[in-house]
Amino acid sequence: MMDMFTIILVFLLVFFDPEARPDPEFQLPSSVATQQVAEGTTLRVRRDAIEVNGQSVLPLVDGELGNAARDGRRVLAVLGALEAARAQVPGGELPLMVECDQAVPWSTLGDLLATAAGAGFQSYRFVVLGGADGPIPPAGAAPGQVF
Amino acid sequence: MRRRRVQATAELDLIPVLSLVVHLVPMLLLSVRFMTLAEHPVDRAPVEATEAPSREKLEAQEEERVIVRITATGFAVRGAGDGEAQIACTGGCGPGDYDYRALGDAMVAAKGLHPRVQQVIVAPDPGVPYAVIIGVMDATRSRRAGDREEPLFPQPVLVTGSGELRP
Repeated sequence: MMDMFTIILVFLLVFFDPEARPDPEFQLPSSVATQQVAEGTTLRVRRDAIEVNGQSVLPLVDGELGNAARDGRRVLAVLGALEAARAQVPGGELPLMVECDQAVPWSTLGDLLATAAGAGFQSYRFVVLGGADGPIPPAGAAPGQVF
Repeated sequence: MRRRRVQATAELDLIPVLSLVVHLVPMLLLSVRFMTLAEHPVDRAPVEATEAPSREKLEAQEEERVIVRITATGFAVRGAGDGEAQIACTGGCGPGDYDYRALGDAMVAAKGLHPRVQQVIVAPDPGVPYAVIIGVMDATRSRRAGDREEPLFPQPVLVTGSGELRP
């Protein structure tokens, strides 16, 4: 029993961060969705930046694209990063996993989805905090520790 | 006389340590919040509503369609051949003020009119936050009735513009 408790304690202590705070620039919306998250190329839209597979590719100001270089609706920096990410996937068939801050406006997200379509992603998945009880009032990302 | 050998054994008293651990484990577990991630699949790239319609889009005009517009003041729900239901915000039209429950009721009514339709066209205004779009996808995808979940329109298509595919 002592061994068991020691293992649990070490596990919890490793992940325990007493200063953990919700990131004000990135809070996923809540949803009643229960479908498990699949594997795919990740497009993360923070309020202050856009990341593709964890790499920051473009800064944003309060979720707005501002004067980012474009070709029509396509945002060039994001287009290049998504094309490169898609080229690394054998067959290029994985969906695009969109992790977007809940306050980002459709004007930004719509242009990014159009950019993703230009890079060859024809289906995408919106990643949300699942298991909400009903039609949402949006909630902040879970505070505390996340495993 | 033979001397008896006595083997001295020392046992660690682990009770205080065990007591400490037993207190620490629940304390750490209480500070943990587990987060469940889920996904909303969308199997079609967004449609540009203002572009000239292709042949496929023109053919789609003849199909039954259910459209949800998201504006700065609320929702507008329209199905082919129906009137338009306006659902105003319940408060100041922040993300939490949109009336998702009334939208769900409107979608149940639309499903009654269009039982074969699986697709719903979601047309947000440019300034609409992402959280509201997810709320609309929740309300249009299915409706929970007790323990049962009734599917409504499980295939959302996001549209930039008014939701009208006609130019």
